Amino acid sequence: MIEDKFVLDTPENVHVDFEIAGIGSRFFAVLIDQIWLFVARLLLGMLGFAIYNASDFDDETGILVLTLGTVLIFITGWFYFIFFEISWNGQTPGKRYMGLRVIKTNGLPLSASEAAIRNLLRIVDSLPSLYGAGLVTMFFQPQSRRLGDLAAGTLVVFEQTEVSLDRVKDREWIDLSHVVMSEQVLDLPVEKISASLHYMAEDFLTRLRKDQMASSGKMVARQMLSSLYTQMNLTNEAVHVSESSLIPYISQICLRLRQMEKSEE
Amino acid sequence: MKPDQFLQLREADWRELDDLLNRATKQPKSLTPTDATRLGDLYRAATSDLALARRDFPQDRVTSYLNQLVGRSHSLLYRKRRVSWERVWHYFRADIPLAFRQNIRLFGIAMVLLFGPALLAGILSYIDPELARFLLPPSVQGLIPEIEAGRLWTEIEVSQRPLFSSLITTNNIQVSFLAFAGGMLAGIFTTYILIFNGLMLGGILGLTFHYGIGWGLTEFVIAHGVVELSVIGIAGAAGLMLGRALVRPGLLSRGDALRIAARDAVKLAISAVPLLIVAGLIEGFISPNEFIPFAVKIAVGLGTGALMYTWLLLGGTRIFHLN
Repeated sequence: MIEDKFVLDTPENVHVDFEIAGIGSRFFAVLIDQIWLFVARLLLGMLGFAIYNASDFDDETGILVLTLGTVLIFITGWFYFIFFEISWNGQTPGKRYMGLRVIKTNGLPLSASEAAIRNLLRIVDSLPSLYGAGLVTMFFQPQSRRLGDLAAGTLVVFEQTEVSLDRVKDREWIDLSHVVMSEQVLDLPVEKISASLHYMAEDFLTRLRKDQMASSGKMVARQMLSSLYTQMNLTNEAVHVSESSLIPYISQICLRLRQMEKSEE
Repeated sequence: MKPDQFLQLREADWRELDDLLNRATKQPKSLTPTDATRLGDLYRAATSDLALARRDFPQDRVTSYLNQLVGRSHSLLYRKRRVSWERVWHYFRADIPLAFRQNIRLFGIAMVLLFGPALLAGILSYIDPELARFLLPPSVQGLIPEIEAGRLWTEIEVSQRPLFSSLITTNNIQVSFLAFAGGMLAGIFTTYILIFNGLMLGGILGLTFHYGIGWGLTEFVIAHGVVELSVIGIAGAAGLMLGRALVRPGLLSRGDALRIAARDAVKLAISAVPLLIVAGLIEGFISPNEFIPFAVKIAVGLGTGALMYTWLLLGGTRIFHLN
């Protein structure tokens, strides 16, 4: 899978990866925001009518309600996005729901002025209709930025979902006790395999068991095994392993690695 | 070291950092100075953990956990000053006038694009009212029979004035924002807005003078017109700044030129908001008020104009500061 990555260099000299938000998720975020706006305006409209009604359709109250309505519709239309992106640090209700955040192209949080630029220019992006200009720009721009983003120097990334530590810790390694070791695997120098790759192989087996990679499993299995073989300096051997023995081999290698780990302890 | 051992060793710190981050986002006021220092320390520790994890087990989920943890901390710790009243005050007192003065030539060009067509349309439709039909956009053609009958449409009932004022203001701010945003189309749309508004203004004024009601319209326009028309020029300048950056970026890349221009241009676009609110209030309440004499309306127009240009030309300079 090709992911569009944005790499941020922190002052501490460490890279942090962000995944750049694509057209689809951003479109849905805008859609959600527009629905919110619509609902909010509908409620305000109903409130206004209720007040007009309560005043027995008094003309002066009617004018007052219309005046406030004009102002509120204008403010919600032009300042909804600016307001939320400033006060929620680059997020609006729609972006928060979709897990998106606007950041500067240097990875820092966006400033009030940049929020104003990208959202005042939203109107050009929405030309001729349905964000046509914005879509075209995003399509040709490697970081999927619309015109407003280009002028403000911002981009939209997937906010890194909060992975809980408990989920990271919770490595359910599948039961391999029933695996029968074959001679070929017993001869392999598995001690050359790094812990990192071992864990990756274990993750692969777990996901395979849970059926989370039904169709792509076979292809990934071949890659997995050849990575394992490469670390054992047997670069070309993996090609000769038949389709049906791919997963058994990986299981056996993992089992041997587990046994090694145990004996070390 | 294996990922799990690494995790066990560092888990306590990561959890503490995670808790602090959650508190800092949800209840920032509950953070004590000690917490803040601790947050910095834990963040630095986590960055070196991330560097280590990237080297030793780049594909592991511990690494993606750390990536996410450091990312969240980074966006919190390196956040700029929050928007404060002090910042806003400084923005209006100094930043906006400075941006205006630095781009005063484009403001001049915008004013020429507005008043050039206005003058032309004014003279032409004063000489030959038939020409006004060509010059005026369809949306205001409906006014022509009114003018021909010698009637003005500027009388607004007292009770309607608040609504009228808010409609005028919101519409004008919208036009200003459009003039700014239109700069993204290489300045073409901005130019169009300026010329269009100029033709409309000049055409109608010329026509009213032809039919002898020109002074009546001038009396209506003068109190709010100085500020309102200047703001169209200011917003036009903002759009032209973007357009110039795109068409003639000079030694910079187009993207960089645009970013730098937008930073100043948005200040001019934002200045339109308070100015047009003032103009809209005058247009709704003073301009249509038949009890206010012409002289006072002229004074209001010139006074607000003088105030506005004093702000724009001297705001943030030493002269203004000493006051």
